Amino acid sequence: MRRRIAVRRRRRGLVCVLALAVIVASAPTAAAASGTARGSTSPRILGATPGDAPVEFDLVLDVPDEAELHAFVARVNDPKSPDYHRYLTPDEIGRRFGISDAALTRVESWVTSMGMHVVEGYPQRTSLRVAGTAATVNRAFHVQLIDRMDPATHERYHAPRGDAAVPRALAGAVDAIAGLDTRPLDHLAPRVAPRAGLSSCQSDPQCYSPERLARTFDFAGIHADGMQGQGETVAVIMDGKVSDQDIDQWATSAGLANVEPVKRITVGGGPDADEANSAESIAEGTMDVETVLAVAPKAQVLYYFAPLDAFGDAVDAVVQDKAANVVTYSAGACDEARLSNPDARSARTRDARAVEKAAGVGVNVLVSSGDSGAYTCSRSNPDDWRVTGTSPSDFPYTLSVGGTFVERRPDGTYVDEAAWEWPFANAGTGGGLNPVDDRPAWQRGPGVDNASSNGKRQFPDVAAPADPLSGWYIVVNGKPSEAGGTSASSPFWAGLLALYDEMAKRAGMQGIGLVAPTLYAVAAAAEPDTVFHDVVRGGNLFYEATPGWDYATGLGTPIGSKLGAAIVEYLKAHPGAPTT
Amino acid sequence: MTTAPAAAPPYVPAGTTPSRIGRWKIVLFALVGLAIVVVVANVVVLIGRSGPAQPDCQPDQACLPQREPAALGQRWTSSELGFSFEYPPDWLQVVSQDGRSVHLQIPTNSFESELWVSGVPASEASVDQLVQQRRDALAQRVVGLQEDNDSPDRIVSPSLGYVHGVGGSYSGTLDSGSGPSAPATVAIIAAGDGKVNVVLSLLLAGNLDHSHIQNYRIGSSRLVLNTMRWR
Repeated sequence: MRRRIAVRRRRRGLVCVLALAVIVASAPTAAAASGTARGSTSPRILGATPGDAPVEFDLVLDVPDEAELHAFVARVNDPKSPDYHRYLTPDEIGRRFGISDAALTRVESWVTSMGMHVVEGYPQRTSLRVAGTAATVNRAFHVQLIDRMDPATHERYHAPRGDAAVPRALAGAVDAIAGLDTRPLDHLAPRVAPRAGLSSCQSDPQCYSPERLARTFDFAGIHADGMQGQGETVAVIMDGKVSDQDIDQWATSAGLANVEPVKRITVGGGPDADEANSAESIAEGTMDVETVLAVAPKAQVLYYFAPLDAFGDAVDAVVQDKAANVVTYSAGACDEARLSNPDARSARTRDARAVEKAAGVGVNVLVSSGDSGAYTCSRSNPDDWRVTGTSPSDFPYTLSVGGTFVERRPDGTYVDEAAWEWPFANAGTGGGLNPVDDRPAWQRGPGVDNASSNGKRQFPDVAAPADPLSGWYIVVNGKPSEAGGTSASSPFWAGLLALYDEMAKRAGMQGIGLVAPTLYAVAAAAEPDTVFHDVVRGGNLFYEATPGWDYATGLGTPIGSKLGAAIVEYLKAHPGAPTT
Repeated sequence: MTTAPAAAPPYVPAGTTPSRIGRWKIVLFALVGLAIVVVVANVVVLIGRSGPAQPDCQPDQACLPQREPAALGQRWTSSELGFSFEYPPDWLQVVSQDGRSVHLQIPTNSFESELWVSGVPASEASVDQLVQQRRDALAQRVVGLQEDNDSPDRIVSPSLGYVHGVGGSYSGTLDSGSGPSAPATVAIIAAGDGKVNVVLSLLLAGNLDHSHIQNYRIGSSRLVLNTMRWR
């Protein structure tokens, strides 16, 4: 069902990197690079989009019985259910919960009849990526695409005049249309500068080398037992070009040998040149890959090269390939803003369904919780200080990863930790409440039910270092740098899950399956500070870190080998069916 | 360090053996003693286990660090009040100090800067009073200093050393002595642990755009904020 037709996307879409987070310790003399926060001023109308301009968008396919999909994903991850860990294949998910073959054929025929073509689709039947021209789109949906310019960023984009409605011919097969409005809700605004004098991580006692990282979070023993991610695969979804030279230089200077070359998979037409070559995107993608390898140096990294507005498509691509059961993604946007824009809301629906179906297949989708504290909307609108969710990190079936500041000794051993927040810059780890989606059944335990709980999904689930002061050693564009943000926290956990998957396999199981329910169960059963560092200082500029689960750091940061052993013991005690 | 010599064991004359009853008493005492030791040890372990729920981490109270920090920069300690923090020596230099306060600045000629950290016993001034005092002091040098809540540099959640406090962002024009010279932004935060109240102010003056202000605010203050210890 999957087709690849190289149609290049013209614009970055609605969801952009928010949690991008290569924020480097820069001396006063270093250039203070930065993005300027985009204001809420009205866009400039440039005129009708030329009729021959290529346009790509998604038809979000219907889920005939969504309640049953929710129920299935809950059952397959409930150790008390006979369906526990009886994950479906991507094709089974598509056939059981997606539209029928006949309905799919009807949609494809309609697309062709309108002079457009399907670029990509996946067996999970979440959405179809469609390409056409502005003229065909205008005709098909009875809209007029208008070119506009954001007055602050000068980014050009197009959006329909009026909302595009699903044509009657597609009723019952297509839920929504996403991607016709390509205005970014957010944009990249990192501070990227090489750290002066940092030629090798080994020479700087504060640098988070893989060796020190393993000591801080107690997984050096897992490495010493010969488990470094052998046979494991981790997927990274991001839009920047990642250079093999950077990875090689980083691995060599970090003391790692024989790191597997990164394999690249382009999703759809891939990001356009501007997006792929932006300094922020390159830094983000590079940091994600290097951080996964810092934790699981023998793992195979698959780099899903996708525009940020194609997150759902990229998740579908990973799941379809069944090549990895851990996916990490470090971007996002204000959830309330996505919900208030019809086009963005459609894309959100597509993304959430892709992640839910991944959970039904047993694939873990890890997403950073954001870098603007509880105020993710302020990132794109400096006047919007609502306490909000961060999409897609706050989806019910992600493993949402928040950030901390870690104090450690020069040899890397752990001293203390606080939730990451910078009051002078209104930056910090994201976390809060999903505005619409219910809390999954497995999210329970000490601290989960609190004064702010309202039955909706609470995030993050876990945390890892994010403050660049206790940040990560990376090499970008040939320059050794220290980086941070929750962007780094998510790939850290992705690498760790690869180690845990390897531990589970060594213990005779086929893997860890969807790990979020297991993490909550293990944390609830354990004494405080025995499998997670319970972070009780700091906050996210609104919610405070408290004993037990909290909105700043979730369950906390891992005590690596002890958490791994607890996960394996838990899975042994709840065997279920073999995981896929 | 010297050690005292170990006390000699009590002398027991050879051939003197305790009576049966005496031996039974010894066994009884030993068992009672052992039971006491076991009970005390369990109590100690339980107290130790309930560590995370120590008084500092009670709801609605500041949760203060229990352990010594790992050195990330240069530590400055108030000799009178005991609070301390680290600062990045590549970012900041000490200009002046006394037992309660320190004045640091960013070593550059491109713009004016002043990071001021000062403490008082909580009985002397509240955190609100400390903010007002700093604001009044800075108003002597910054013409038209007023709170700037519309600024993207506003402070939405003031805290110091992970203790929530009060504060705000202000703007005006630096008075060079010969008249207003450059746009100035000021951030002030004060917080306390119940015994000591501390105020931190950061003045930046020059032709700096929002991103520069953010960058210098972060660079100069994040280590101070992260590593503040109250005693």
